[in-house]
Amino acid sequence: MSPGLAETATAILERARPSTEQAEVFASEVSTTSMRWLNGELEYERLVTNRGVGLRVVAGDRYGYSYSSALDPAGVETLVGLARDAAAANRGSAGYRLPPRSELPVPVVSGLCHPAALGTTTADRHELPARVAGVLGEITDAAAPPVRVQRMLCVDNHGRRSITSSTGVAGSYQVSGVSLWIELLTDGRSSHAFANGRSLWDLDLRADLGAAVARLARTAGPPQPAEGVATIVLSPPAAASLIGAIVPALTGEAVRKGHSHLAGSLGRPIAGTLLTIDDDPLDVRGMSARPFDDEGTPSAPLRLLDCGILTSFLHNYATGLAGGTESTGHAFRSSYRSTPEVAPTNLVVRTGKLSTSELVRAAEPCLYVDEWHGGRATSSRAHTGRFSAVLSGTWWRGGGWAGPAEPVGVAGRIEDLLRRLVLVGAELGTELSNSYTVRTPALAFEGVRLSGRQR
Amino acid sequence: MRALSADLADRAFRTALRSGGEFAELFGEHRINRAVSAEDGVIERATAGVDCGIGMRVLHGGTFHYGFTEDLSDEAVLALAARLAGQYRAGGPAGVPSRVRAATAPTGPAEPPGWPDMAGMADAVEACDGHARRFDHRITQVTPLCTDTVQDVTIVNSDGQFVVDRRVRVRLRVKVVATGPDGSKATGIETAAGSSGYDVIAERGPAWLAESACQQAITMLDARPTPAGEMPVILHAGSGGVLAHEACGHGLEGDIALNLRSVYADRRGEQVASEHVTLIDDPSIDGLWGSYRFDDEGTAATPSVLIDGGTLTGYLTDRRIARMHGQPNSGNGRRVSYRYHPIIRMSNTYIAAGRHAPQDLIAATGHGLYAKRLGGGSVDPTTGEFNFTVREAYLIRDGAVDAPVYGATLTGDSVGALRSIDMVADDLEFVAASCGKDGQRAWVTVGQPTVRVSSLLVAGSAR
Repeated sequence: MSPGLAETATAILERARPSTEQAEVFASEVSTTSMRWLNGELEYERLVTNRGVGLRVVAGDRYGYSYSSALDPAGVETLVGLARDAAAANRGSAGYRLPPRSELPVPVVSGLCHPAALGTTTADRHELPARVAGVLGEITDAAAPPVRVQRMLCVDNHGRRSITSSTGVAGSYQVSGVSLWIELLTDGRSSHAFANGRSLWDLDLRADLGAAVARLARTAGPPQPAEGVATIVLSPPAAASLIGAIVPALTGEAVRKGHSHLAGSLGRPIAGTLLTIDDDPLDVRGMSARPFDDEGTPSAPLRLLDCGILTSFLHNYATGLAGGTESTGHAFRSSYRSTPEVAPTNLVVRTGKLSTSELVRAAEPCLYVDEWHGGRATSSRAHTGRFSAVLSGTWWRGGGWAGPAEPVGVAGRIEDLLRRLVLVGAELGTELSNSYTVRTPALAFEGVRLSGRQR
Repeated sequence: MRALSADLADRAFRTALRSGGEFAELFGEHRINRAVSAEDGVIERATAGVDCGIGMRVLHGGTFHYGFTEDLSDEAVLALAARLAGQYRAGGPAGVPSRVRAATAPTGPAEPPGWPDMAGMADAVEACDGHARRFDHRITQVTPLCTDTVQDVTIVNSDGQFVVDRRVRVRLRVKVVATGPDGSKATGIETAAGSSGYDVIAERGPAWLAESACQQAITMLDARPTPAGEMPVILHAGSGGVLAHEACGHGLEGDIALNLRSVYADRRGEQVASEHVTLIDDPSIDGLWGSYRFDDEGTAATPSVLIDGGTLTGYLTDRRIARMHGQPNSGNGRRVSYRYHPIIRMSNTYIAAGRHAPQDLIAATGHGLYAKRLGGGSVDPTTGEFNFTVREAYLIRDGAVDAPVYGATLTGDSVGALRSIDMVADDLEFVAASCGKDGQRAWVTVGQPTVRVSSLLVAGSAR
């Protein structure tokens, strides 16, 4: 954070305190560069710095929230006034209190900000297309149809998040990140590669482009219909979508509001015994790692599912209080404009012993699923546990890839599907969601009913 | 916010274009957003915030450069212009001269009509909550949310446009959960949203919104699993327009159609839908959620007929794509805020009304799915392959609406689906929605009358 913003945050806290019982200022400043190429030509370059503050107050025994990017004296007056107006309208929040300072130590999380990220230049970014082309040249088969990059989007950022409150919460940390999305085309078919890391030099282009090129190769040929009951193997991206589908039901917010079908399931099996999921905010390989959450609670790993048994929900301070427990350190704000919600950071699925290729062979015949469409919040109903999704993938039969499958639908109760888990891979893929990371291997489920086009 | 002056804009453009470049633009914005929501029968959240800044874009060859400043001083704006000028290689021909003119008269209501304070917003939320809780004892959760926005924009460009506009948006949305005696749950959602002020809430009223949402949830408590397979699907008026928006509208956005070669590229004049389909995007319809007087590049709003009787007649464009491809500018350049560059977005996109009565479509369908309300979904805009969840659906048996079903997902390809529309009713309705693209969300309206698609693949869990 620039000294100016830090001083402003402190000044806002001081300005808000006389007219409020409690106040908290969350400040962030993030510099982001976005570049997109279309067919090798730079389409745009966007260099911006987002900075602003969110002000949470307790005034008249009620809770109010305001935010602003206008941080001059007039803007600060407006900010404080809006927070007090909001508190006055917040009739149901009587007795609300801000989180106290935690007695737990704040962990040191090394590697959140790659030193090289701070010195990234425009020239470094302009070299990306050549780097990608070089790797593609090395990994593609010269005899195969040429693979070309249609679109490429690189977003790199670095910044600082900071929190200070009248209850003694105080902290600040610096973070950097890069995500690279590449769309590959061959023979009219497309595939996408995602790479992420802490700096441009931290990207594993060979692995991520390799996965996308391999997908292009195995999806050649006419799509085949699918219908009936089959074993499906979810690739790491598809498995991440499935894991993401249960996240809305894992938050203390959903439990408190009666929106979680998993409420009341603590200590009970909700998945096959092979499924263990942790949330690990200290794992810097996950892009949402952090030393403390967005209301200052120190971070710590948390087991959510242990051999299929639900062991915990995610909580911020308010949902922890409402649930008769404590914050698990999962307060999340998408930016300073957002009140603290509840979200995971880095979900990590415990691996098995089979490589992905061994797992596919062991599951034969099976549908290897590259994409799981619609399984996140849009169609997974947190309150009912029902889901419906459309899968895209490739058949594995007779010891080899047997062509792409036409899109097929799967639907039912998500717990029923999770109980059909029979194999877990050993190779973790890292997938980004909007607000968290999922690190999961391939997952195989047997006896899954597919609905496709009938012939 | 201090409005951008012609003098400052002129100096900024001359700075930005000093090393070449064809076009420069400033987008100044001051916006106040407010939100009040209830949970468990009481107001639980009230928030308000200010977004204020100036974004600048410079076009140079096929590339554009974008940045913004939240420091509104002349010095900061000129520094931004100098930084953007420095991002592209100097040495080319001198940039075009700036042609800044005086601003048009400000448009939009000076004082939004009937604008309440936050306590007034809380009143609307509580009214909605109370009606829902009294509707049926099986309604166990009610979550009303009232939001409003007052956005003042100044859009100036080096071609001489200078627009000052005020936009307002108001929305009241209620989500309810019903719980059955066996613990089963179902949801219902209803929304009133518009761009003319709080009259949009007054027109239908919190009671109607609450009751509509509750009725959906109560009905779906009795739903059974959806049978899977290919079948005729009737998309109810209003929210069924999500399909035309997602599956077809995005493929007709010029950046996707012309740059990425979507399934609609180079097909102007071709039959891409059945003769029953006329697809229009019209931001100039007064008061709808996706309406505007000027887009975020300062272009006046006009209707665009995209498909006329099944024939592709045009694409949606913004200034950059129109210039790049020699197309007319349809005035669909929109952005989330000053922090973002404009991209091509739909506004109020709808299938025009046909001639059938809605019940004719159902009576003519022996067996199929009646999709009353669509949920979210995704589409590959280049191939047109889509999938959508259905929030409220019913089986059709022997030409009549039968039992409610849950868990339906519709999938297919857009051209195939549009060509399979064989009946269009006369009951055009609009529904407010939110659309995501390239990391930006936009307020849009989807619309359609009740239509029948002769065959779609339905994913469901019934055997």
